[in-house]
Amino acid sequence: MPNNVLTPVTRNHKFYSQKDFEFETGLMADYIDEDVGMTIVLYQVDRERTMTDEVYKETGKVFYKMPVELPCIYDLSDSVLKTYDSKTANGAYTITGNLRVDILVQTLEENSCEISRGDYIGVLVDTNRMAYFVVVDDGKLNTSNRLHIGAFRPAWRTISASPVTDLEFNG
Amino acid sequence: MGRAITKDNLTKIPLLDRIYDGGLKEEYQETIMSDQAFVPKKLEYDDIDSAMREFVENELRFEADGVVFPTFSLFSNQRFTEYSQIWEHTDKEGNMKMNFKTVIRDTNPEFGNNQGGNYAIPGDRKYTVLIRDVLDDNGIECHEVYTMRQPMTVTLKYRINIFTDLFSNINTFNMKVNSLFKARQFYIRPNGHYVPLLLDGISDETTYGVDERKFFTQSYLITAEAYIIRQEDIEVMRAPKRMSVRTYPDVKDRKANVEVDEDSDGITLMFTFPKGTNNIEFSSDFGFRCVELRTANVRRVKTDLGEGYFDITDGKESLSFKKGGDVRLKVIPLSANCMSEVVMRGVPLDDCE
Repeated sequence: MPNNVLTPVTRNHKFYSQKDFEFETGLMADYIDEDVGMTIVLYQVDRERTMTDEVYKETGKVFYKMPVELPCIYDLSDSVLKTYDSKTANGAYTITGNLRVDILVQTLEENSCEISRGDYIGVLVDTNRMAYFVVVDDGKLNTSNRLHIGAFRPAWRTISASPVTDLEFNG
Repeated sequence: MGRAITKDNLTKIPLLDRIYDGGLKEEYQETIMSDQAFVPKKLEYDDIDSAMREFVENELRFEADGVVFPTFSLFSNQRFTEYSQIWEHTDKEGNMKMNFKTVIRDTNPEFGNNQGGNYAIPGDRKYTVLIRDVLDDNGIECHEVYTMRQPMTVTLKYRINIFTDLFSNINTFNMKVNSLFKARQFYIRPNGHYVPLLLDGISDETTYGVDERKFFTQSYLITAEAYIIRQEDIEVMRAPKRMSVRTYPDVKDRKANVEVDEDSDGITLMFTFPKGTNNIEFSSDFGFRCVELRTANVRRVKTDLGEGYFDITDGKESLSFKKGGDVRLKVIPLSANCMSEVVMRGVPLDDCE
């Protein structure tokens, strides 16, 4: 859990420092932004303006903050064929696969934004088509070694998002 | 010891040797089948399925935010069945838009409980429903004998699903269904037959998963306690009358009649309605305004001058028509087994009045 007292990280300190960390993170940010060129559009839910039902806390109209385009690396799973009625396998529909986004913490800090559960993400699939997702895992718990750089500090967040239909969100 | 009840507080049961509802029950017997077909219409699976779809569409009509939930009947396994219905209700990906209802039936209807689980009489014989006299094309009077087999009972099990993204919609729809079945049964009327529906159960079919698309599915199991009358179960046979060994009551002329009597005091119209008749229609060649109305064996008298029937029994409204006017008179008899009479005493009505 984060606390207000900043404690220096001394892991791997003989070979690695905060400067090294910032340098490598900067290289990665440049690589993602300039070479990879993948971006997502983040639609943060404005939790203050969005009204909810008193009993069930369901929303009628959702308000969003200004959308932000964020450079990242994402992975879109295969589309899935499902049925509404599982017993008779009737009511077939296809839905976009889940979205996994790897994003640098630094990118979020630079853009002064935060990804939370319930926020929406748009991915430009084609020149005239966006796919939309709702964040189910905001990746704030990025404690695994995989997300560290130089075994020093966590630099990445992995976001998981589920597809949504036009009824729920349409940009 | 019980408290003594005084005579005044006893409930007196009217043990009378007469019908004290004014012949209403007998009237129902006479009129309930009027203008009906001679034999029941057929009732097969497709008729009940069609009525069931109408039930889901109309009785379980559901609307949220001004949008009516469409109903899809998915009885068939053919893919085209599904696709042909959803074309108008798809999003840009071609998927069914959320918020809709479906109706499905189990493919294996079994012997039913419509008649309390009783089986039909063995032998599969046809029973006579009605015999009536008809005049054949060649002028021979025949008996037309309507026969039919005993219907077979079946239980049809339907499943109605509602798919929605809001819990409040599930609540409202659930209340609607439970309200319909609060008296246990709800009746649908395929081809005029009353088929009781029973609500067997409500189940939650929602797929819950943390990283899956979320929506609610609620399933309502409804049983239709039906019976089946196939087209071939009904047979109409013609038998020449001379071959008949049965006896039938004479069929008398049962037309209502009106007689007009004019004297110096005015005009008297005497309407006679034999047993089994209750209306008369005539065109008048004189104007008439009714002043006095007398009846015998009549509960209500209604008349229609072309703008719908109105009641003239109590004298609040009186009958008045001009020369050449079309007049319809209808009576509701006190006893359907007796003749009814209406006598109108009135004055001539000039054309200019």
